[in-house]
Amino acid sequence: MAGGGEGSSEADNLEAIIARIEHKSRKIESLLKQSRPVEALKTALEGSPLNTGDERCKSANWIVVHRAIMAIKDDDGMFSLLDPEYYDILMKYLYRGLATGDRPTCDQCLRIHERLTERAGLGCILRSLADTVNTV
Amino acid sequence: MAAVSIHQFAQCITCHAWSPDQTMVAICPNNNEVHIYKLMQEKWEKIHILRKHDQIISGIDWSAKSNKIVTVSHDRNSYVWNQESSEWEPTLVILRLNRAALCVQWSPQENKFAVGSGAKTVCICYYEQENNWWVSKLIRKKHNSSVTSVAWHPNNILLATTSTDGKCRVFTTFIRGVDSRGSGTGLPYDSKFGEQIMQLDLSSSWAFAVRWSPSGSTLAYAGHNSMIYFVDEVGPSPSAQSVSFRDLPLRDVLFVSEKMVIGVGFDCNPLLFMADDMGTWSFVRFLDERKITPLNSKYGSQLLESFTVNQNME
Amino acid sequence: MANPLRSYLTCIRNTLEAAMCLQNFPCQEVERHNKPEVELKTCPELLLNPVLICRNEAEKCLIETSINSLRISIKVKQSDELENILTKKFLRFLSMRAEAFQVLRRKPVQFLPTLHGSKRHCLAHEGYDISFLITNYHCEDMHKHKLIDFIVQFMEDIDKEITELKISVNTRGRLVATEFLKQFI
Repeated sequence: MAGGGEGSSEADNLEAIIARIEHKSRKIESLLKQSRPVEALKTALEGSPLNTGDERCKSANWIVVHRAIMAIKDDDGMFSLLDPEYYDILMKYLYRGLATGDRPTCDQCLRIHERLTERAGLGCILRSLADTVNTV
Repeated sequence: MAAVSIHQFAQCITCHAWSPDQTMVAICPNNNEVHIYKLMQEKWEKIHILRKHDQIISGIDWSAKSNKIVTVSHDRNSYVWNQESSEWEPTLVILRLNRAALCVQWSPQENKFAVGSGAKTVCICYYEQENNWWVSKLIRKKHNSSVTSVAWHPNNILLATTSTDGKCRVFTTFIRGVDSRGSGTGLPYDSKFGEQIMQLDLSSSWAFAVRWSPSGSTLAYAGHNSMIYFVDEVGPSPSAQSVSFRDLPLRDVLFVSEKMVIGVGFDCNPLLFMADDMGTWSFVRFLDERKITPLNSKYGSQLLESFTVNQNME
Repeated sequence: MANPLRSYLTCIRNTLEAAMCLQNFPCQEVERHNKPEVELKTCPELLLNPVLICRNEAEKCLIETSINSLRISIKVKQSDELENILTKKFLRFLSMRAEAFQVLRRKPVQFLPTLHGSKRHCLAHEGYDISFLITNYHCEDMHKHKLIDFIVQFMEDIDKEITELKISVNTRGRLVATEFLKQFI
């Protein structure tokens, strides 16, 4: 399951989460070098630290996801490879991107948001708005 | 499939209940009254208005066997209405609530009813013969927010609730003198009151619309995150399924059979869910024809243009 | 219409459409009261995650949702001093007539509420230019899609309106200057 993640149990210490994110980051860089942006995005979204209250972990993971989102050039190509189980978590990160106010990030997130809403419906937006427990 | 027939009773209907023989319907037109309509010669006629509450009515239930109507309102009160000759006579229920009542349902044997409230409590109401009134017993301290719906198990003892704290809970409601011992399922918690036998924490947002399947073996409820949850083996180790759908959230659900559920909500179009042979639930289709997306009207600009701005700026 | 503006407005429209699932909900804190929970914020469990949708640093829209009400706050683009003054005056003018709009708030939201878990989204501490408050009563009286159309149309028109005002101020300024300088010829 995308997002939920084995890494978000309370027992996990923060260092382990950060280490895992660093590992993800290296994997993503190598996937991007091989021009596999959708694989990179999936890797970034998997095991996101959702129910930890720690901002450092969330920010670290956001940096990784942001890197992967910005590498998406072909929306149709992305959606043909991205399984629906990733939609809800991607929507949460798009809203995080939209809140940054950074123009290139916002442009990219606005474009993907529109396409994702067409595919996943308003229910996907509601799952992002209504889930106050697992935030990104 | 399109709607069979459409009748405009009011601009807004907050709740409704059918009479036992389905020839009458009681509705609340978004105010403090209950209007009862009867189908006469293919036309719905308003035959009664029940006036007693002084705030909006949030729940109506019409008992199938004893032909009694129970209403609850934001004014913290509840009335049981009895039909005497041609008029409906109210009896006040001593709810002992200090917040709004939000939902109500008669128990299957109709000797009790449950009221969910904004006071984060559930009232189990029953009739006291010697005093000739309805009294209530409260389930306190379990809910962390308003109780949005209540549903009785067919055994007349178990009660399921949903709340805006996102949880679905099941309680025992045995009341000495009203329920006979061993009347239910023969479970060990059969003869206790207010015992919580299960708490489900599946929804990450407000929970609504809990319902039991006709046999009482499956429980369904909806979350505001556009999800519907199905729970089997209610008890210490329940098994649950979450079904997410692509449309707006549900506010009520109805079991048509053990394997078929209809959900209604903000999409203004009923959704049909079904379980396959393996017991896996999924969304099937909308019941009504898909509505056409409204054309972009020039609503906003008219308002803006109605001000001649240049001259009037302070 | 420029493409980025369109996708910004589409995003807001879609988010509003999802967020505007409001219902009558009586107050849990005070007897016999019924207040917009998004304004009171007394019960955190009755609020959804607020979302901030930015087009860039200067233009943004905050959508806060609760069980019975929804608040939309808008920051309009102001690229220079004159636009700043015009926006302020124009939106103040509208706010003074808030009852004519029903959903318009008399005062824009000034301080960002503490967004869930952090302060990180809050680059807009300076407040918003205009805020709308939509309650379940509005949704009962009016069509939801018309309400959303109104908000989106408002955002679309406000830029145009400010630009027109700016042009007319400049034109008038030029005219006044020309008339004034004529006496020296």
